[in-house]
Amino acid sequence: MSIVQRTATHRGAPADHRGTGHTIAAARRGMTLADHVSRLGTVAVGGLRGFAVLFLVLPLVVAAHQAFLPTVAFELVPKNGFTLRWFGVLFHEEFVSAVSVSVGIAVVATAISLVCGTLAALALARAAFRGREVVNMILLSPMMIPPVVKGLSFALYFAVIGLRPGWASLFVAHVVITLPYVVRVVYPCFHGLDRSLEEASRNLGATEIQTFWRITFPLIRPGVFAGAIFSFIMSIHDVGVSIFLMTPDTTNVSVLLLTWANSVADNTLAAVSVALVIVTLVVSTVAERWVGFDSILGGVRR
Amino acid sequence: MTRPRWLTRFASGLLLLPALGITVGLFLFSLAPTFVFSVYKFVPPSSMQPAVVLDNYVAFAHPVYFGYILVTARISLVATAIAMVLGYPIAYTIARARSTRTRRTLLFIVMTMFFVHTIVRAYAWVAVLGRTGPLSSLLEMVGVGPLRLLSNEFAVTVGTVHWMLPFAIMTLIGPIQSVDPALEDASRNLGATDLKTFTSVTLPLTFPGVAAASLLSLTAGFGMFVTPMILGGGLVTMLAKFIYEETLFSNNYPVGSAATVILLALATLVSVVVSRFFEARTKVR
Repeated sequence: MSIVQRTATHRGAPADHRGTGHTIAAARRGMTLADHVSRLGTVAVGGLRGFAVLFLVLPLVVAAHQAFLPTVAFELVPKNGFTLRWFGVLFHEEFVSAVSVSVGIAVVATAISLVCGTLAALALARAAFRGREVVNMILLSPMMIPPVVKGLSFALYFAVIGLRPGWASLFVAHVVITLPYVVRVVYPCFHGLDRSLEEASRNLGATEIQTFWRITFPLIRPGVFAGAIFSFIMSIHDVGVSIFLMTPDTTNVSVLLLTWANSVADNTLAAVSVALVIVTLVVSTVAERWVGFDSILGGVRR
Repeated sequence: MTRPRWLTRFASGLLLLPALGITVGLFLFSLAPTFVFSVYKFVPPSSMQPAVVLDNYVAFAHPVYFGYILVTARISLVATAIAMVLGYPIAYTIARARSTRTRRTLLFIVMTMFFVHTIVRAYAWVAVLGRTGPLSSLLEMVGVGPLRLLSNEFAVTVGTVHWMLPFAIMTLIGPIQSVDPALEDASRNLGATDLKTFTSVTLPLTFPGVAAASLLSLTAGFGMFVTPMILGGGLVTMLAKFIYEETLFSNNYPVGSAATVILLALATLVSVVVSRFFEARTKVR
């Protein structure tokens, strides 16, 4: 216990304790082979981390650069100058209609998932009933199944129950695929909630409904917001399910981009990538400001 | 709160009803036809006949079809291993960074990459690895002859690593954070080097987390669809792509369904191992 306390205060010290600890140990024994190996190891880990960050980010930078080049061939500074003509695709009717299909489905699916998922998370967090683990597993199960498996199964099942491909089947399928993300992200918020605040509200004479809207909901709002973001993004990202259920007039942006990726050999996709990355950065920044990624992570990493 | 128990139970049942109804009625039930059709008989060119035959499964004993399973398993295994090696240092830095700015910046990069559309991320690698892309020109400048970097297993594996990495990092942060820093400090104070501390204190303590994260990545890897479609150039067939082509293009729903059941079995196998693993871990604690 005392060691823990001592090291805890030690950690709080402003000086870089790790560095000093290391030098003291090294000075006591002289620089041994182990110290050299350790130093090499530290450098290697630092290098690996740098490489990993570059590996994540650099391809997108290359793609963004590609969007301004006149031809497919990579040139750091093009001989004939940069161009904006590939961005014309963003106003193309086909693209605009695909985006509106995607957004329409994502908004409706997210709204339904958010209501159902939040209620389920509330029940899971509050009520102690037998089989809670089983219910939790069932609710999260669609997340564990590969998209194409869900897609084919929906297509066959909907044919059996008489739901034709198109809007209705896409709405239904997207509610199923987004619901587990809402449950998973919102559940920890209810779980970590201070119940005494609700009890205080009840003791002061508020009804259960009033307590929920005035006390509980404002407290879990960040979680619900995070759940909405996850649900929306998962719906927009989906290819595997939508490709089995769409009709020509319900082609969403994911399926359209996949078709283009396999058939168009110019910089169109690079221009679309720039636009989508900018939208993503806006969403990320808003999410970071409003909820903070730590609380989102709390829901993801369980 | 002196509510009768049955009322609480009734209320929570009511709250669960919509979500449970949707998941059971529309998702779990939806798997049934796939299982049924997987034993039906395929009637060329595009119909099927009710039957109970195992032909569709036996087909996967054929080297070509079995190869699809192997490629799928190989790509997800290799990509998972690389994602763990690349992801661990970032997750460690996020979990232990003393400066909030480092932590927030890294977390922002990771989350944003997670949010960027899968197709955009796969396409970005087309731009990098393409025949006229920067990597090819760089290699040729160094004198490494024209290499085909795209439309092969290498490209799909790289794309899969890129796709898995943010998710892997997100799942690794928790286990690393839950290791008491005092243990690492104690190790250093007792004279162990940073490397020694890492290999004999931090890594063993986070190992269950690493194993869980890699099994989750593995399951996700089995279902990869978009990345092999874009980076494989029609030459790398993973199971998900096979299912898609076999059903929507060849209209062979029985074989497509059998492939789906096989994919599901592989994914479930890994998930069961994951949950067993977690159970064992919680019992030890």
